[in-house]
Amino acid sequence: MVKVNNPQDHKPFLVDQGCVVTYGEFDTQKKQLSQYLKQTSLNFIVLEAENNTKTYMRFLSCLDAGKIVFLCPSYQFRDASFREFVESETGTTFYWWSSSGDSVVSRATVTSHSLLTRLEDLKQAGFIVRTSGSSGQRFKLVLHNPENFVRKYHQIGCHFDKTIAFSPAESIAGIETLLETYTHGKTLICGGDRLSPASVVSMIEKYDVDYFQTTPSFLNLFVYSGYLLPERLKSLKKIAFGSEPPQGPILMEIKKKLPDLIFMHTYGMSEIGILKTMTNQDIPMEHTIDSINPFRISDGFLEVKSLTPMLGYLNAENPYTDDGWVKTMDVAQVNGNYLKILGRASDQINLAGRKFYPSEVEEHLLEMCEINDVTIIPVPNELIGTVLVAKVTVMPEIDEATFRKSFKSFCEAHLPFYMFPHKIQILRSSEVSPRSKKIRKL
Amino acid sequence: MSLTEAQLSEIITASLNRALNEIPGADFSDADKKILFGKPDAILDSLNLVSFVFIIEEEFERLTGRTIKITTQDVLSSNAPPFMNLNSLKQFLSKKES
Repeated sequence: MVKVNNPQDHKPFLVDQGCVVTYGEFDTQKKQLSQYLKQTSLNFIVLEAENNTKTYMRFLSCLDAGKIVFLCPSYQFRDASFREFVESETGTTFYWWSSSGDSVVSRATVTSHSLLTRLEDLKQAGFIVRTSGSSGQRFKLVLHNPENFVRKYHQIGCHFDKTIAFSPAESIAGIETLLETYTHGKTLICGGDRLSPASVVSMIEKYDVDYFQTTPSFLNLFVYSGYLLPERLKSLKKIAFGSEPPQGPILMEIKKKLPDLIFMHTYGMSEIGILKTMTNQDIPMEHTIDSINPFRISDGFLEVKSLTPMLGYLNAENPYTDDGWVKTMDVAQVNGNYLKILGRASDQINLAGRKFYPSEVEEHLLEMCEINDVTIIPVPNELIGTVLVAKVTVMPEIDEATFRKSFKSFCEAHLPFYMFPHKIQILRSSEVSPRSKKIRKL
Repeated sequence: MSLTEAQLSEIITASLNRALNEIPGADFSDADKKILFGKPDAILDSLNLVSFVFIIEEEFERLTGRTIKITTQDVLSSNAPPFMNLNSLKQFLSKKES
């Protein structure tokens, strides 16, 4: 059961689009709902996931009631083929509880999956996370034990008072934000599912948010859209960023404007949760995984042991080594005490006999002052195997022809020849995915 | 519909202007006197040739409203290498389009 440490009934747990829900109010309703759920035979539940009180209430009630629950994004929840995929891949009949469906239909759920059967027999709660399905892989369904996460938060201790529900509710980052906030009796500010730099700054300022976890792509947007305003971000003490390689020039710009801000460069996966790291505060691009989560490099790939390892995939072979390490499939290098993640093995570009990552080219190009953001997309090409397409977001006032000329000079001065982009697409605003990550497709 | 001499010249001139300003590592000044590709002292190597191909395709489409696809087979043709020099390029585009 996920419980609040030192509960204070009057303290706000949620501020949901301005509406305050205290711990006392939330826990009273949660208790009622979980009691009701315990009386049903619905052991496997899919929730339509949104960053709001209703989703959180249902999720935590399901866990309290010993259910196994899967938070699913709306667009997939409503997709019949995705429902079929989930049920056939897991051998399970789920109850699909929509955000608009207020009553629970009494219908038994069934599973033939050994992992799920084991939890069901033990009346032990679990939650399922869908991997992001990047690099053309199909989605994997990951099963977790929530008690591992609660234990982790108690071990690490609390490091914030108020934070924002930034990550999608169904993501491992979103679930961890919710569980960590609730376990420590802190406050979670919800502003809907698609936050902008303007709305984030407003929430930080209005509610004195001290901790904000986000993605590097969102930080780019934040900086070049002009919202890095120290006078409005006075309460902010710490930011966390992960899920894709960060861009050094952006972090250094933030550091310059907010010199007392603490950076947390996180590392996480759906399979292992978000790992505690130690970040080099002078060079925030550098970090290392904290010793409570050991790591090693094997054949150039990062392997980790986590406090919150998954119980297993429900629809794939488990990526554990014989001695219990998780193979992350991220390529990494150790630099002194710090770890540098270069990218997924499948993202590596092989061109002119050289191997490198899109993030390495992007890092160089971001030094060009006219560029707000850049994404390098490798595209198959008959003639040379791969060509590099640069999607470049420039400042609105920049003339395209002039920029292209400057870009050529910049590349000649700063990039090795094999990293020269072969084609440029000029954008006036960045494109990010619903998970606020770069869209690495044309 | 075949291209006129004027249209061909316009496409090549526009492509050269862009290439001069945009392709890193390639010097397109006095391109009419140089080998484009295929010899040691050519303007382009196999990596940045692709960039020039993209520019030609884009300028062709911009100036004619029609698309053209320059394939690897076209580029590596040994009978009449299209990217030997500007004359061969002009002849290639003329034949490709007709």
